[in-house]
Amino acid sequence: VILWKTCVSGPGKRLLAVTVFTAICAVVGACSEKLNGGNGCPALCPGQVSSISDTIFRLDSFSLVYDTSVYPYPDVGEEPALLLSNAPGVQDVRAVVRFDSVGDSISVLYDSGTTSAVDSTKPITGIDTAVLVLQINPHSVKLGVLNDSIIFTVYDVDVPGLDTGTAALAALFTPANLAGTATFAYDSLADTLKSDTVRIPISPHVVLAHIQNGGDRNLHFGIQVRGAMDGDPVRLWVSNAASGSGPAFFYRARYMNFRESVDSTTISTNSTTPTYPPGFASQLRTFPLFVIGSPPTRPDILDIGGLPARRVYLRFHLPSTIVDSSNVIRATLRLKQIPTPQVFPTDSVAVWPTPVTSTAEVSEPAKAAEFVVASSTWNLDSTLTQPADTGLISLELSGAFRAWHQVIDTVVTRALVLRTLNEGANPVRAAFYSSLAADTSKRPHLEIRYVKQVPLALP
Amino acid sequence: MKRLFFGVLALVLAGQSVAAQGNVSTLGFGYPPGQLSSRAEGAAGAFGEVDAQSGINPAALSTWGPLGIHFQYDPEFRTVKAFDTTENTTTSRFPVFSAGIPIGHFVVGINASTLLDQTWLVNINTYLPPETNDAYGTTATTTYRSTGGITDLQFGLAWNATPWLAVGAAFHAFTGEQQVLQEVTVTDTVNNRYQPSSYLQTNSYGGEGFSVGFELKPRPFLTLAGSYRGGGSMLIKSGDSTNLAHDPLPARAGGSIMFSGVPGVLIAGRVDWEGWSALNALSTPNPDLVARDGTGWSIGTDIQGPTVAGRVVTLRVGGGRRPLPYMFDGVSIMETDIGGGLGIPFGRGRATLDLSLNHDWRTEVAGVSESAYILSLGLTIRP
Repeated sequence: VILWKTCVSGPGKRLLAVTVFTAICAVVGACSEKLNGGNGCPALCPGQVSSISDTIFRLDSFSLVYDTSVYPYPDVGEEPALLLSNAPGVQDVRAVVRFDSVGDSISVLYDSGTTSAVDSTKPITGIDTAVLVLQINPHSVKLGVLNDSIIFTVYDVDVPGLDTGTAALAALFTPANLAGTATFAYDSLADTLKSDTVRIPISPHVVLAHIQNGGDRNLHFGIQVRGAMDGDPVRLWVSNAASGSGPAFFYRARYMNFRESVDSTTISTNSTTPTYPPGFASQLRTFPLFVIGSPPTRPDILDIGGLPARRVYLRFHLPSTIVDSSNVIRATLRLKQIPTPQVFPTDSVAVWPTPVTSTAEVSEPAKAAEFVVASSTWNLDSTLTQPADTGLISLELSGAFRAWHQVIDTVVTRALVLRTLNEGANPVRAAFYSSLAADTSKRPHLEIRYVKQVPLALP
Repeated sequence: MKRLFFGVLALVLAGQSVAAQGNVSTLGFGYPPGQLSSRAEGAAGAFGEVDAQSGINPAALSTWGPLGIHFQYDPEFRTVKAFDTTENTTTSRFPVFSAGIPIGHFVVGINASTLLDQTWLVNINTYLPPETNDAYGTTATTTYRSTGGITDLQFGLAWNATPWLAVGAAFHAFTGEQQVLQEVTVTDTVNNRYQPSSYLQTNSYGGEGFSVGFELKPRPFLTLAGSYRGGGSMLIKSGDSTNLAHDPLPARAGGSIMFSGVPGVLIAGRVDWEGWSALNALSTPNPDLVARDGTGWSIGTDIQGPTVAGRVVTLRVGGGRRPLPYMFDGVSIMETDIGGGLGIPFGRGRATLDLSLNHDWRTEVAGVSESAYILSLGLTIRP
């Protein structure tokens, strides 16, 4: 009879305990699987070859496709900032700021000619000081090499009934309507550590002309900038009314012949006309005037950005075998750039592919191009380009294909908008050949790398 | 005609076969763990035909003893060597759950055991050439990850007809599914350029079968046992909708002899035949990978060992060799196994902890060699 229990001593028992403990530890340690296999491939993986395919579509090869420039964006007065730009003969962007319904009377706090104080409202009879206050974005200030300062010129452009007519408004920027002027050194405007507020003195006579003797009480100032050296370009952004910190107008008014000014007032932008469409007057509190530098669109050119800002609306008609039955891992839109002269040759612009979320009900490109959401929604990123250069730019659209996967085109159109940031304030325009370009090699191409679903057969 | 229909259908639906999974043991429909309890594994399967917790012989249910349940955890630590590289993997399995209810001379048993395990993962790297305007190419990693397998669910009944004869029969329901996740990821330095791709495909299994067995003690110290499983067929569906195959299941038959003439010592030998070639009818034809029938054997011993803290520990050791279901490129794949284990009772005999460790070597094919350690931790509780 084998009786191990009689021949196993203390150390043997300890060995047994260690064995059990080790085994349990090993079991616990194996709780997480590690299946990093594939060492035997390809010898033991004959059926599992790569299922990645590449294909290139020329956009005009689709039976239904839009690639067209649409504009303007955004609506007038809703730009992120007011652009002031001047490159003689090339670009001239001015701004109009409105202070409608300016008060024509002041509260007199005391009457220095009497012994008793009174509190009554009196008509304004004189202006001691009037200043137009503008907030400058220091990062936006750009100047030609010849200049070291910028001249702001302000004109009285108030003509009853004239709201947005660019040519008519531009014609009012004449010496006869000069309201004020001021010169600022570039360093003071572009220095982010210093104040970014500029104060332009306004002629008291211009103000009084509108608030005295039955004036319309509307102050419409047209602003133009230029470099101290003629012919040298200048560009900057001014905060507009939509940004919440728009231009302000400060004045000190007095009544009759009192020696002291009796009231100081700062007013914000205000617009009372036009009355239709509703809300439009508010948009016109501050707005840009694109006088020069807005070339016409052409069907064979895709314009992005510029003045007024343009978008490119792209709607794809893609094979369902790729969009729905496969997973697109990379999709790249290649656009052939047309060199576009720029005021500042080194200007660059980021082209953003932006998701369009409209249904197929919205068939008009300009309308559909308004139904956009943030690019990050579809994990899309921008591509930076220098419009003055030639070459090919690539826009990565795989995130869009993921969003379109197995979503029918009538629910969410397979469409994108190409746009720039700061539309209406950024004058940089990039141009590309469209699908109507005469040279087919220059037309947009869509390069797709996709993974076909491998229907796994039985082993 | 039916087979022709499903064959044509399979070809129509077929893209690529998931026959080969980058290692030797999980080829085809997967790796057969053996349906053995931790106790039987400790002796390399030699006691499989006479072990109540193993899902082999329904007649072995007669030795269940008091009402109880058994479950176990079997992690496999596999090493695959190919082309001067070594790959280590860990696969977790819960291969056996069983319960026995004695009713007079009868024992009703339920046993759920893994017939074929389809857990594997393969990574394939593919060079993607640069596209227009790209400065460089990149690498895509295609991952195939399979989980699941085929479970053999048995409802058995054993009858202790006489003190020297027990017979049993069981109904088998074969069920389970295989989920294969196909993923493609690309590592790239540019954000948002590549998106991952992911597809999930599910094949579900359904089938039925039966088994019969006996345990005969012609002498008090000698036990003979045998069993046979057959009949039925397996229906395989893709995504619960499309029938991919409907064909017979692999049959199996086995027998063993156990000697218990020495007190405290059991010695057993077992022979087992598996009709794996039936899998060919369920498979997509593949000249490189063919299932074939095979016979395996094992011998082992079970020895009452030392007493630890008042408990008599059982020691086990064994070895054997068995065929895996497939032959690859004309080479039959065999698995050679040595193992050892412990059985530790506790809870005044109401529970038993079985530990075993087996070292397996599998036939080298296509320059790929494979070995594994399979640890098994089984717990039997008799409330």
